[in-house]
Amino acid sequence: MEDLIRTALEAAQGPGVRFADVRAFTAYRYEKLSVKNGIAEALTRTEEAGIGIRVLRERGWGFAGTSERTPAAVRRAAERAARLAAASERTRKEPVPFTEERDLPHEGRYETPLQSDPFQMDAEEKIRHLRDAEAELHVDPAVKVGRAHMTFWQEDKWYLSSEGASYRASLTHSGAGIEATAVGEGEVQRRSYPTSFGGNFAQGGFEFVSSLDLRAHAREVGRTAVELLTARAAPRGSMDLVLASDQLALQVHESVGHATELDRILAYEAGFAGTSFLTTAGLGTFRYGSPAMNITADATRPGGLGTFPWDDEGVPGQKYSLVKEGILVDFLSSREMAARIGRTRSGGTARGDGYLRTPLIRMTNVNLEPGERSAQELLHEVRDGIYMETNRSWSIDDKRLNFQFGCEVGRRIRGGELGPLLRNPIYSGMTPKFWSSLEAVGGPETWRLWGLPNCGKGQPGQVMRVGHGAPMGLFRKARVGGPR
Amino acid sequence: MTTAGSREGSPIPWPDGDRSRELLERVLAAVHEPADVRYYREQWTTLRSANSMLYQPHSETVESISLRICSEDGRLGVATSTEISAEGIAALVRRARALAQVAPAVRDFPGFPEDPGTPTPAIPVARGVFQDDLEARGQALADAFAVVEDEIGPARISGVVNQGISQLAVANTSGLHRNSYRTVAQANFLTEIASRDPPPSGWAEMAHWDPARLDLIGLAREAARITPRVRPRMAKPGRYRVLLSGSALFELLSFLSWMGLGALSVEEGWSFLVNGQGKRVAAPEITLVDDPRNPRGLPAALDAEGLPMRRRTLIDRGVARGPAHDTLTAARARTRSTANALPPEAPAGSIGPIPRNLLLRPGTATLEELVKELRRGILVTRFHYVRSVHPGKTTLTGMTRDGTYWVERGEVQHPITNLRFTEGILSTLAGTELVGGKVRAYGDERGFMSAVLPSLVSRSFTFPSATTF
Repeated sequence: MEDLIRTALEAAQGPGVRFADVRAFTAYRYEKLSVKNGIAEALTRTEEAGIGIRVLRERGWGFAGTSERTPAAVRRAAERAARLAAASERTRKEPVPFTEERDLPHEGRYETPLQSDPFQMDAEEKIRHLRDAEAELHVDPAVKVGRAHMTFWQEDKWYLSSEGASYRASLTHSGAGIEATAVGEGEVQRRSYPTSFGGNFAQGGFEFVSSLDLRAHAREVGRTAVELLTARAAPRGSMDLVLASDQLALQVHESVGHATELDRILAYEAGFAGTSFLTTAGLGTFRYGSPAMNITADATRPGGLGTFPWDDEGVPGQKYSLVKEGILVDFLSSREMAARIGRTRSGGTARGDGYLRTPLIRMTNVNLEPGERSAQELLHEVRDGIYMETNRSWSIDDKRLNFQFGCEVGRRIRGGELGPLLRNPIYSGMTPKFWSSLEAVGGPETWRLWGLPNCGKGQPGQVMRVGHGAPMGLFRKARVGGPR
Repeated sequence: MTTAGSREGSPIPWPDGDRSRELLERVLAAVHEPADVRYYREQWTTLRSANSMLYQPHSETVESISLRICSEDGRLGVATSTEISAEGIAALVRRARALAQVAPAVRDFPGFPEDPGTPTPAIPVARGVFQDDLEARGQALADAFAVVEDEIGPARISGVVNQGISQLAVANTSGLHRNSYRTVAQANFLTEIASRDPPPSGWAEMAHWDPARLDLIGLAREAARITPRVRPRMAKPGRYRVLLSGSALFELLSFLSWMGLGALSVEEGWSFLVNGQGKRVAAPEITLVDDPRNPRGLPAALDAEGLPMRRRTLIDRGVARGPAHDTLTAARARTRSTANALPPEAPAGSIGPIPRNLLLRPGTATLEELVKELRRGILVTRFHYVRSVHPGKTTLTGMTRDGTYWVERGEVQHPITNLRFTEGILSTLAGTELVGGKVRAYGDERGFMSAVLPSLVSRSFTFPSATTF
């Protein structure tokens, strides 16, 4: 494969090319195991390999990816990337800016620390875990669907650039979850653990899945799904809102993570994902939220889905603040976008979804940093409010301002105490106003790092695995409830 | 844009020929259990524009195999690979078999389908897609950008022009062996007057099986001409009559397919068809069809089990018909497959069969008549970030974008700022009063979901909140 990668890089450096890089996936492994109502569902094991080639001419980029691994095929791909860059120049008058990143190391290797490599394990053991957990979900005939899933990814990547960089990384991501769907008279309710849409995910091996102990939580998940069928509907109105860590993580993702992507801010994503309400002029002055709001982008935190040694432009993973005490202080950036706002260094967040996709600005681990209060202390701040946990639906406008989130579980808070379950809780708001109503965040014991494996962006579509740490959070006078 | 030699007719072989038959036979020869195998080969070119320049041009070529093995007692395992050497195929078989040996048994698995004997549908496929002239396409985009600026002056133009050819060949141990090619192309333009805050915007999109039929200049002009010259006025949340464009309807009807028109959602009890099949769920003006061979859309010949796809009515003059089936769900429901199987590998494998080539039967109204019928309400060009809120009730939430207009006295008055909607798809279809006569094809970027749709007027649509832009 090494010869092929070097052939690709050499072929990409034709006349007029300023920069070229090659990302070879010498192995990409993916395994999805799912058990539904006791039967297997889409047990899949994928193994791929291929090469993605990027070419930068003076005024345009080109990208070509191929799964064909012959010298002729990679030369064809390199030629296509170069022709696309030339085609791009037909529409551009100005040179493409690009940070130089002069003092980067030229070589590096990285491997996810693993206790138990999921791709070396017996499939039987993994299936047994799933069957045992799924069976426990069926605590009542109203649980019509029980599901338990596990998903694993392993990427052996080799990055080479015309600047002389040569980085090799082997990243392993693992995750699992369970969910029960209960069906009653005109009502469908779902409850998940540890959170919805597949569970929780981390960089690591099967040891992370074991730590979730799906089976131990399954009966409670089944019971809650059934209980939700007859729970009172969540109230509507303006009231204090306490968000659990998993929902607050998604709130960060949608209303901070995407909003701080510099390509969106500069309208390079306008046609599809949208832009951002943020502007470069607001850097250092724009009040994003209350002083309790401290957001970092941290590609260095062990165990995160957004943790990596180098991004897909060869820039080291970094940790920096995006929002400090409620003020916008930085953006997520790539080499081109950083240079577009006059910077000499990238924020190191460009990643591509496999060898068939070009790198884009993607979230790393974008975290809401914890405060000091315990969960109990936070709840005691609420005389009459609502608590929500675990996302059920999410939607936000193309500037990341107007959002609406539905959760699986709500509970009324009265006098600082959690009350009985409420079904179909929804809250909505406008991003800066909502974050300005953040009164307090919970301490480290309420903070958890979540892995989101399904962040979509780009055309053609890319799905990225990103991380978000979040504590519990208290928002004053939030808009609660959907339309009648 | 033109692609040399594009025309209907027999598919184009790859430069190195079609090796699907040999590969599928090699894979099936390596298994001794019942199995089916798919061969995929695709080439796509996506030209993505932003800030009035070609920003991310992209090309991909991929060739892969998906193998599903069934053990004797109905245990299924799926493996996929891009490694098609002898060693790669041996490893593929080992992985699929390893999963099939440990999987919990699938209830009522009927085996892989025999060949139904009917010919593979002859669908139109464009020639010349593989050998496209990339530089000419860059120039075509530059020309389209110039047209926009001629129409509205300095503008921020975004969009995508996408085209590809894909091959799907399927074989199984029951004797089925089918091969098909498909071409897909889409284009869209977003035109914004960025000097104004909030920027007025226009949107136009289309899809076709033949890239040569994408009229980039016409499409760019269409987006430019509907870009308002005035700043949008603040919208007020509430319930309004709506005129939904084909683009907006494509979003809603795609969700309807995912949420309720497939057999798995019926099995699991959360589809509206559980209580709605055979009943009136929409206005009599609504006839929704799964029409995979429609040459006005993005035709497809085979489902992922290799069965010839066929036309089937989903909602007949307002009355819901049965769900889409693959071989497995059909066996459980004691019926026949409707040839709507998705690939068995994750993530599609857990979705189950769904209709993916929708046609909403057009009426006769012109756009002017639709606006007149709307009387007082909101014209929606496009939705954004739509998500399910309540699948059983087909309730969605999302935002309007890129052209939301206030209509009064049957005339478009002015653009308004964007609104959030939370509304049921079926209640929108039930409230349909008038359907447009002009249809257009829409498709997602790989043509996975496509539709041929008119615009329509519905009597009530809930917008619980509004934005400031």
